[in-house]
Amino acid sequence: MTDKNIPIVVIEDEPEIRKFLKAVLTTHGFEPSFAQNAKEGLKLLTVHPPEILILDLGLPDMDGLEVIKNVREWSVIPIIVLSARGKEQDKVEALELGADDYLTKPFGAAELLARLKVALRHTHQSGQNNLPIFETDQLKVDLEKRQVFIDRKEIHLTPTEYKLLAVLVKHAGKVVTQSHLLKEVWGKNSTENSHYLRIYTQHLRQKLSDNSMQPRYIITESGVGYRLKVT
Amino acid sequence: MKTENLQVKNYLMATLSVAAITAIGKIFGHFITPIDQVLLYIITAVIIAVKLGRGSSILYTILSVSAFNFFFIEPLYTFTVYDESYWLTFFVMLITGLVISNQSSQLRLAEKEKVRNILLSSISHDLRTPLSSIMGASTSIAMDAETMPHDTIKNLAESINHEATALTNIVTNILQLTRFEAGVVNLNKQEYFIDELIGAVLSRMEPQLSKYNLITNSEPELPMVSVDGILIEQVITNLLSNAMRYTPKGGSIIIDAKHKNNEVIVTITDNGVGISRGDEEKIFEKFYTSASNNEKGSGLGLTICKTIITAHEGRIWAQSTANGALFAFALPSLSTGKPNNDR
Repeated sequence: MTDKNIPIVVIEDEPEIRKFLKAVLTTHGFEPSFAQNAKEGLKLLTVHPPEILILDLGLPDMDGLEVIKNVREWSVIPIIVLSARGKEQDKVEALELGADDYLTKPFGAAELLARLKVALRHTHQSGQNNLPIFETDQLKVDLEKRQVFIDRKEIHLTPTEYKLLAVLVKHAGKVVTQSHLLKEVWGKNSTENSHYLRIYTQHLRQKLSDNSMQPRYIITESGVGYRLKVT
Repeated sequence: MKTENLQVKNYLMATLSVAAITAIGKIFGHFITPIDQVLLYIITAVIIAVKLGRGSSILYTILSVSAFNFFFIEPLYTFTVYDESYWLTFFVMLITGLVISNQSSQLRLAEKEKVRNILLSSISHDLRTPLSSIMGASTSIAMDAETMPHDTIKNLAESINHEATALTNIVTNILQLTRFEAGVVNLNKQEYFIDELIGAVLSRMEPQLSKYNLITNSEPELPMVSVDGILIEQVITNLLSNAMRYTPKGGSIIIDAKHKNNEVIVTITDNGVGISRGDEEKIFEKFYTSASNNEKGSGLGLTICKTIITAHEGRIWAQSTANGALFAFALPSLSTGKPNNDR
C-alpha cells in the first residue's frame, strides 16, 4: 500500500463491528470514517469521497440495497457489502445492483483485507489500460493474444471455455455472479441455464489441472457464483 | 400442514382399530364372552392412547362403546338395549377410555418436557463453554495487554477465534434445525457437481483442516445432482467438523465422491475413535453425543445432516471402520446431459 492512508467509509450500525473494523483498518493503512445509518453514510460519502465503501446490508433506516442503488447513480467507488450467512439472495441482488464484493458475517480480519486489496487493485487498474497479462500461481492468461499457460506450457481451450476464463480473469479475486457469467459467455437469454456453467467450469478446471475438491484457481461460491483466486 | 395430515392419519388408525377389534369379536364370537370383548377394546384403548395421543383415543373410546352396543348387545344391529345393566358397562368403558387417554397424554407431555429440558441444558452447555473461554481470554487481554508477552496475547486471540468458530457452527445448526422444524425451509435447488460443493467447503475450512492429513478422491465424470448448494455445503461442513473433532491432530481424513446405481455417494472417513456398536443410528438423533467422547459437539450437527439429506430424498449413514469412523450420504443423481453449443 502507499504511504498515504486510504480513505474508506464504513456504514454499519453495530458498534462492536465498527470497533473491530476500526482496529483492523487503521492498523493496515486505511483511514476509516464511520456512519451508523444510511442517511449519515450517504452524507459522509459526499463530504469525504472515499476510495472504498464498506456497507452493511441490514441498516436501521434504509435497506442496504437501496443505498447501493443510490450510490451507483453518481459514483463508481468499490462497494463491499456485509451480510449474514444464509442470505445468499441478498448478496446476489447486491452484486447485481453494482456492489463489487461481499463478506459473510462473521468474518475475520484476513478475509476483510483480502477483499479490500482486490477492490483497490481493480480501481487502480481501471484508470489505466487493463493489464493484458494476468498471472496467479501457475496460471498465466494473455488476454491480448488469447493464450492460456499452466506452468509455462500453453493449454488449448475451446472458445466457450476461454470466454468463461476471460470473464473471471477480468474480475480476478472478486466474486462473479452466475447470471453475469451466463450473460457474458452464453448471451443474455441463457441466465436460467446454470448447468452449462457447471459443466464448462468443470471442463475448465480439468484443463487447468485444477482439482475441484481442492481448487487452486476457480472457487465456487454456492448460491452466488464463482471467484478466481489471486495470490 | 404436516401435523394436520398426521392427525387425520391418527384418527383413521383409531377408527380402523375399532373395526378390527369388532371384526375379531364377530369372527371368534363363539370363544369370546362380552366381558372379554370389553377387555379387548380397553387394551386397545391403552395402546392407542400411548401411541396416538388424546384426540385419537377419545375418538376410539366413543366409537368402541358404540360398536360394542351395535354389534354385540341384544338386540343386535341397533343402538337400543334390552338389558339395562349394559348401560353401566358402556359407562365404565367410556370412563376408563377417557381416563386412560388423559393420563397418557399427560405422560406424553411430561416426556416432551423432559426432552425440552435436555435440549435446553444441552444448548446452554454448548453455548456457555465457548462463551466462557471467549470471556476469559478477552478479559485477560483487556486487563493485562500492556504487560502480557506478545505470544500469550496471540495464543489467547487464537483461542477466542477457535471458540467463536465453534459457536458460529452451533448457532447455524440451531437456527437451521428450528427453521426445518417450523417447516419454513424451501429447497433452492440447482444442478451441481458434488465435488464442486466439497471444494467450496474445503477452501473455506482450509485453516482448520491444515492440522490434518486431508485426502480427496473423486471419480471422473460424476453426474450432477439437483440440490440446495448452501444446505449440502452445511452437511459437508458438519461431517468434516465431526471428523476433525474425533481425529487426533495429524490424523487422516479422507473424502471420496463416487457414482453408483443412480446415486452420487460422498464418504468421509476419519482416523478417530470410531462409533460404539449400536450407536450407528443413534448418533443422528438430536443431542446424542457418543458416550466415549469428552470432546464437545452440540449433538445437533448430525441431526441437521440427516434432516437436510432426507429433504433431498437421499440417504445418510455411519459405520465404524478398522481405525475410525465412516460417514456417508447418497443423493439421487441426474442423468448426464451435456449442453451442445460450444461454438
